[in-house]
Amino acid sequence: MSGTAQSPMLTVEDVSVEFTARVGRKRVPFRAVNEVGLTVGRGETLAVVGESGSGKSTLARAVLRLLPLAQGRVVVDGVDVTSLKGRALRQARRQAQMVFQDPYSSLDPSSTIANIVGEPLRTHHGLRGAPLTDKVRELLVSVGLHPDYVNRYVHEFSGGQRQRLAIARAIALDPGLVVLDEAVSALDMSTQNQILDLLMDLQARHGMSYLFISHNLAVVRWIADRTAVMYLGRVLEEGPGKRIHDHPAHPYTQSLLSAVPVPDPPTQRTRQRIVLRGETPDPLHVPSGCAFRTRCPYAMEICALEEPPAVPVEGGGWAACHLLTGAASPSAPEKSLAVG
Amino acid sequence: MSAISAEPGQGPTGPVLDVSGLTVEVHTEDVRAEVISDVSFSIGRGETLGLVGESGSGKSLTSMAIMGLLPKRTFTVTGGRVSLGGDDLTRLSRKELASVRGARMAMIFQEPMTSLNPAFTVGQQIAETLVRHKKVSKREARRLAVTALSDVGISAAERRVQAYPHEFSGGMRQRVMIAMALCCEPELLIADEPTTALDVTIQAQVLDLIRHLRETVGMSILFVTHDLGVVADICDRVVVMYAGQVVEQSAVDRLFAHPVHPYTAALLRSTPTNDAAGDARGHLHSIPGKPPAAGEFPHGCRFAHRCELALPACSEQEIELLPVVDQLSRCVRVGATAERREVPA
Repeated sequence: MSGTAQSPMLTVEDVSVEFTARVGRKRVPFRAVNEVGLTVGRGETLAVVGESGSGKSTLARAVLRLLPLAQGRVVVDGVDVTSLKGRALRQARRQAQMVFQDPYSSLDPSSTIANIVGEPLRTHHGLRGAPLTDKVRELLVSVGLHPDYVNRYVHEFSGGQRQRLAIARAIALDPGLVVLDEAVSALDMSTQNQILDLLMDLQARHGMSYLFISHNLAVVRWIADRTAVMYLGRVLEEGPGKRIHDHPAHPYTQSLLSAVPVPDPPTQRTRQRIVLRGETPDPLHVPSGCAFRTRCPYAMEICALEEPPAVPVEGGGWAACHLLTGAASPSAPEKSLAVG
Repeated sequence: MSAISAEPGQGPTGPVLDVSGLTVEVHTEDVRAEVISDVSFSIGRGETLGLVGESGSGKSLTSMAIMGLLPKRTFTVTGGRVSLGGDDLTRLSRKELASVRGARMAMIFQEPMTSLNPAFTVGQQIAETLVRHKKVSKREARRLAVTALSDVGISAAERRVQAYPHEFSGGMRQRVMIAMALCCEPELLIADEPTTALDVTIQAQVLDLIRHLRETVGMSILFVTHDLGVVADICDRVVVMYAGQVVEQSAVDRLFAHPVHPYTAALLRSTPTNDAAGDARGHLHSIPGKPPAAGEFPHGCRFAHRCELALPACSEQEIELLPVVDQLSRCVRVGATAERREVPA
């Protein structure tokens, strides 16, 4: 039923997800996620960071088999879930649960809290009546809510409390993996921190793994053991969270970090910032070679010709950039900057 | 005040915007409650003032009240004055106010589609504003619309004036909205969370654009945001709001280095970009509980029930906004702090 203690909680192997776009009368296929490989260890948090159009949410949905894969494998707790169907898929879904960004639209307004939080227990364990209510009360306490809230309705709760309810529901079946898609993005900073603290606390107690999807590198730094940075459906850099935040190796990661303004006016006024030109290209027209090259301040000739390989980075992890392969002379960036 | 001119009514010395004692009530079928209480601040020429607070603090309501855009059925301005270049906006008729909006003050929002009409090209919309407020010919307005678009960094502006809002990306739409807001060279720009919905790399571009335009045009800006990083990036001075009140006012450097009000300090500590947001055990700072809802504002200090420094005195009397050296703070400790600070070192 469950894998060995050594096997990772989640393995994403060479996964691609395709959509079709209508261009005039034609239907043109394009890849929202392209050949992504990632691993989440037991009790570990992997943050997937990217801007809109990076494919991070598509990846999250593909992991949960909410979207079909065009290619690759997803292994959850030692079980290959890629081609599971029906009962076997439902069984596997107990192990992987999801929390969405908007706690206002992801919880049924006409159900009581007992129904919303207890729903997975009813469907998967057939729990009813008093034992169900008792278990829901327990779950509410574990996410920092009052157990007497069982008979209330969602509209009586604030955004932060609703996200606690969504978390209570997600952990009801004691899953090994929780996928959090922008789970704190809609909350005020202080509330955001309360939820992050709760997530870390639950992880310490239950040992579950998190796949934490976010657009915000500043938030991710507090929760991620490892971080993967996505752009146009590709992972450009992956590594220990602290290394990615303190010593980003890929120019895109560097520019993402430098674009976040720091709450210290003298520092913010004087620090060197990389302001990227333009916007993320349309996924129908992914640039040749390195997907980031059209916005990269260091782009060289080779970047248009060859896709950069993943190069190991000091401090752990890797980055896919020609600057790191030794193909570039150290003066190349300045030269191309002047030209660009 | 019937003769309201399109020209500023005061010399370059006075503040561009002066808000004093602004008080707003919300009234629905069963509730009547104060949502903005006695808010005062002013903005000098060329100055950018940040208006900061969490959701429900009243920062957006304040900016809507200044623009005269609060729906009359739900909100009433029960007190205070809003003057723009010396003219009291609260006394203007609806028609007079409409001639001030767009010409002398303009507003940009978080979601550009709230102010762009999907049925008209962006060129038509910018031109309409110009014809209405600047009394230029249609032909001249079209020419100016192209200039306005290229001024906000939109390439191929001659072609793109003919595009509809949906043909632009989120970041580009925000540029279009800025072009529309600034085409009549307003004295005051009110920017309500203009970069919150944008990706960080696009946010950086838009902030750079606003900074550049401020320097070239010399307008004053009221920048409403919850993001203290953005405040540090673009503001000269800051007003911090909590539960409908101003709790602190300060020059930007001073605010971040020496927050006086415990709420400001707590807000700074819980900013995730702040290196000190987490402690050694990995716990993140947060403010316990939640802000009070309108109609449930507590007596005395409205932050007291969440404040780790609260004293019995906090809830016994209304707390005044008092000066502390060059800041203003609404905290019971201010008297004591002020005395301590004024002792020469």
